[in-house]
Amino acid sequence: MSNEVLLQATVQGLQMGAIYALIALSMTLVFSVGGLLNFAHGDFMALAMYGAMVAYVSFKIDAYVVAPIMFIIFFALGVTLFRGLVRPVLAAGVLAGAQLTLGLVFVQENLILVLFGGDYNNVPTVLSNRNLTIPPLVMPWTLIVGSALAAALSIALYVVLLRTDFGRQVRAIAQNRDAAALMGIRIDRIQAIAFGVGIGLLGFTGPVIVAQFTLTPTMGFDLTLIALIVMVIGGIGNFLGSMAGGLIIGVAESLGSLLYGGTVGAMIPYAILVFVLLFRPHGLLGER
Amino acid sequence: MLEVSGLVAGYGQITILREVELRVGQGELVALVGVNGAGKTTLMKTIAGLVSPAAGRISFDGAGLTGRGAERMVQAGVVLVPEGRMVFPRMTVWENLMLGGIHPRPRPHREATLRRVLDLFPRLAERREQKAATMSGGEQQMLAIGRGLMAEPKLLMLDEPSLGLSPLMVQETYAALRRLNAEGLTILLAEQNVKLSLAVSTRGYVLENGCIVLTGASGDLARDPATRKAYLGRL
Repeated sequence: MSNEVLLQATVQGLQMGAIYALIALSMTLVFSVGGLLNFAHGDFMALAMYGAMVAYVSFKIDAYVVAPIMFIIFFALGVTLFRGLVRPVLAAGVLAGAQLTLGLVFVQENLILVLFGGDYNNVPTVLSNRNLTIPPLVMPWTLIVGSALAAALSIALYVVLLRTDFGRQVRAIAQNRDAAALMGIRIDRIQAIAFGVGIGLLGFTGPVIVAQFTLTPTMGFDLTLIALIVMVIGGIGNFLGSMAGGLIIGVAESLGSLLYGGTVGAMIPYAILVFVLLFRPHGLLGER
Repeated sequence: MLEVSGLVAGYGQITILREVELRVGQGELVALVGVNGAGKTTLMKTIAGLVSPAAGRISFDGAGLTGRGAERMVQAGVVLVPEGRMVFPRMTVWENLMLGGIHPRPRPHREATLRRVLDLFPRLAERREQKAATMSGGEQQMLAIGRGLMAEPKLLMLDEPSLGLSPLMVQETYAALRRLNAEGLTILLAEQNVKLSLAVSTRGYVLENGCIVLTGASGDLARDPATRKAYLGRL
């Protein structure tokens, strides 16, 4: 196999990895505030992609234009869901919270089924079918822009978490909730905002990578699974770990399907998961 | 300054505090002593707003604050340095201190308060960029107190600050508390270490099974045969 092909697959893997990283990062953000594993995470993203489809089909608005609007809508949706549903249920325990999100999976997938039917859909964007050629690489513009936006958002989110008062409050709640309350941090408020940002990021990411996916009602759960693997590999709750895990899984998936074919390639992320957990039970960058 | 009356509190079905009466006046250093399990931590947490009381009244500077929550207490100037220090382990000393002053009331003067705290605990200045989890128990206690001071408390409450510290560190911690009190800070100190806390305080309360059983000047309490027998052993 030629080096050019390997290079092509690696670059493509890194680009998909940047997208996985952002999904996992937003999942980590949601997890860090309340200990909630959001099994409906990918479904929110699927919903945003269908939103982009509606915008395109009905209003001829391009997905890239829809993305920032979707961020705002999904942020509001996240805050509302957190206040009205997640927080009251989470008070009964983390397990109840996880069950709630599993319920949200069914609600969203069936909502999509009812509204759009079970057909496969593709949503073209203004950049579809255009490639950037930098010999020996040929890269679709949709993937370049989608992954670049995902990477930029990941880095921005990371900087916010690391360097701002808001980020410090989010981390404080994750590390010791009672101590955070004793600082006078308004825990409910910070949690609602963090949840909103986590869901809002999915609202933004869905449209900008919509061209990379074939839309089906159940696609969301596949995305959730990938994000879960990425999170666990990186170390649950660790933001840097989620970013690194995303890139690892992206490259592994891409190289795996190139070298071993689609079926075996699809198993590679799970193999890596098992391998990492054997030697680092708390993930690559996880502590304790 | 702080007035607690008829306070009943606990967790779920379990009542821990039964009709607690306690007062702390401006500028005082008051000790709250009692054996492990007497309810000291529950009382401190209830005053700080982490536990909502079932009955009774908590007021501070004349304002009724019963059951108003931790954020409101910090707003009023009541700040708890909790048992077990509870520093944020995966954050640096500097981040911990900045979070101490995160509330909108102290936030505008954070930098100035930080300088005062670092003057009081020079060791924290040396460890500015170190993760809190990697510090010794004594250093973590200094950080916890420093973090509490960042909130510009009018009343600083400390729960078992000597717990698990070396004798030298205990001395250092108590020297800092004495100095803060001498500078005018009102302090409520909960301690199992009865001898030590009665030595630094002016007044004391003895808590037993969730009730205040004795109160008075610290010197009198330390000499009281009942306290001596129950808490000081055969000293």
